[in-house]
Amino acid sequence: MIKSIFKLIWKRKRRSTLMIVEMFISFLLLFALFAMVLKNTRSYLEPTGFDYENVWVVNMNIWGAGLSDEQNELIIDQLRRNILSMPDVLSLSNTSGNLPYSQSTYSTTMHYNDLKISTNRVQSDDAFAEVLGIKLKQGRWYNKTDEGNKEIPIVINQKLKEAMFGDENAIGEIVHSGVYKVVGVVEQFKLKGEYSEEPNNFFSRFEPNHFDRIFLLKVKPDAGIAFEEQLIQTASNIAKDWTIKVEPLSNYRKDAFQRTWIPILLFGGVCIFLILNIILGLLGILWYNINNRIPEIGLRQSVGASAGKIYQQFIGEMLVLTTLGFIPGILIAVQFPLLHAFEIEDEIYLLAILCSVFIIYMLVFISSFIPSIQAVKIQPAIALHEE
Amino acid sequence: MITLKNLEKVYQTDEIETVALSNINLEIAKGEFLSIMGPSGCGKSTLLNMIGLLDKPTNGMVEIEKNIIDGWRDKRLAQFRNQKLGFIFQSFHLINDLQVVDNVELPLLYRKGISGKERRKRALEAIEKVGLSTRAKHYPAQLSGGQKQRVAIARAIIGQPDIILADEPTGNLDSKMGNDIMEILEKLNKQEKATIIMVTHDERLANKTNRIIHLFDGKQVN
Ligand SMILES: Nc1ncnc2c1ncn2[C@@H]1O[C@H](COP(=O)(O)OP(=O)(O)OP(=O)(O)O)[C@@H](O)[C@H]1O
Ligand SMILES: [Mg+2]
Repeated sequence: MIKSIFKLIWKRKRRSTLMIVEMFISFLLLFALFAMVLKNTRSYLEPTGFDYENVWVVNMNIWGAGLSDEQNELIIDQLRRNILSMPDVLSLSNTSGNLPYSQSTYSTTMHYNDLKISTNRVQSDDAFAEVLGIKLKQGRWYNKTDEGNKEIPIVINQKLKEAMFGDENAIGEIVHSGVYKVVGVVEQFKLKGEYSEEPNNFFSRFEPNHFDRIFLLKVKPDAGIAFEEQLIQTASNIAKDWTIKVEPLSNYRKDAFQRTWIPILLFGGVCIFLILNIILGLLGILWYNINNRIPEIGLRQSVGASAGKIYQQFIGEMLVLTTLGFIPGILIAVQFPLLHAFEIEDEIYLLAILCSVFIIYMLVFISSFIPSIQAVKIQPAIALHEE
Repeated sequence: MITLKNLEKVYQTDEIETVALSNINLEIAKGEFLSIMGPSGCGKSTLLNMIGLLDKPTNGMVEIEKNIIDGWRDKRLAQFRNQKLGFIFQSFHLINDLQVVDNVELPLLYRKGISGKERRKRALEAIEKVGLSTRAKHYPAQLSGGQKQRVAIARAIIGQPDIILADEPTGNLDSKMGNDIMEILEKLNKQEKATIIMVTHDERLANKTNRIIHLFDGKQVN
């Protein structure tokens, strides 16, 4: 059977090549799409390590107004006290501009012994962990007791901990040539949100009298429009010269989601459009093919082919062609895990290959099965007549 | 060996109903060489297709070798055709993308328990019987009409069927080639004891057979 299929495919080289190329392209498109979708889904399933709900962001353009540092500090203090006194506000943290879900990143290199590790840094005050509900795995968050020490207290994520210390203890270690002291470790922290990979991360405490442009507020769950208005009112009364933007953190999250999914949806749309075209073309070719081959079907039945054998013949031909298209496709696809491209895990690539292969086989199977059923229904005497 | 009782075939198309066969009663003995004659459209092909189980009669009964063919499932029909019947058609019905030898092998492809090697051997034997050994690797497009029909005969006999059904096997050939084909069929009938039923317009060829059936307007006439 398979040998006779190969003979027919070989004899019909030109048409066969066309199909093989179509299958090859469909495979690569689907593979890319699946790799992206699976990678992001996988990321989404990994916890972020913080809680974005009921958190508001007060974004203050402090340095645009041209006030002195002393004036700015006074305003910050006053704002902090006034916002904290609002009944809906549970806690407040002042932090650097690279807040969760934002597009800004602060990367630096951490030195420890002979290691130089590239990592993200977030600067904040002591309330940061409380506002974002960050859980400590070891040690503690930094607080007032760290004041007066020579080193700046930092909290690192587990990934950075492993990179620097492996299985050894991290708490209390002095790193970066005496600049920092590790006081705590968090399990994970994906600064850029659900759809990002966890980077190396550390949080460092503001030095005394330091402040930055962001307030993160943890509020009561029922804080609504009225709260927002009151917050804006308070802020603009106190900081008349600053431009201040107030938004829930969930908005930043939504934006981050859109940045992730819009390109994928666009690419997915294009893929689906192309593949739909290929499938429709395929269906057309198959329909045409099978219609053209109805006398052949009648003949095969007259020499003793059952309906099952006819299906085998036609579906078999298509599946063989599809498989021939997959071979170069898969050869290309496996280069990605082999070359460790795009920081995507090998399993994701393999899963993407499997999903694409499965879906294309299914589509091809269905689109060759339907016209075969139609053709086989015809009585052989009639089929033989159709020439 | 073949019995037809009150056989009737009506073609139902959108507007008209064509009675292609009505009240056909026929007994065909084993080893008989029978020819069917009659004007165009009188139902000769239809009759042959009923005997060959390529279509279902509207009424009546077809019995072959004591099997009453009624309500058989596709698989059983296919198997029966494969083992008992060989067809030869006016328009040859070769698969153009297959070489002669692969065309001839076709019936054995659908028979269980025959190795590729055995298939090939028997195909070459059948091709030799019809005198086409030098053309085994050709494609149908490279053959003359007479040669194509010989390929079709080789395909019809490779499975050693008891019954060969030939629908105007010489209809597309000149008389010289027609005679060649007729000789092969006669030889099959005499030497291999095959029962042959042949539709023909050619009185000369029909006269060489054991018996002639005349059809007119779907009915048997004498
Ligand atoms: N599939 C079909 N649908 C409708 N009518 C059909 C069909 N096949 C045959 N007929 C009709 O049945 C009648 C008998 O046709 P058949 O093909 O058996 O004639 P025939 O004797 O073989 O003619 P010819 O010598 O031209 O081959 C004709 O009137 C024909 O039009
Ligand atoms: Mg006819």
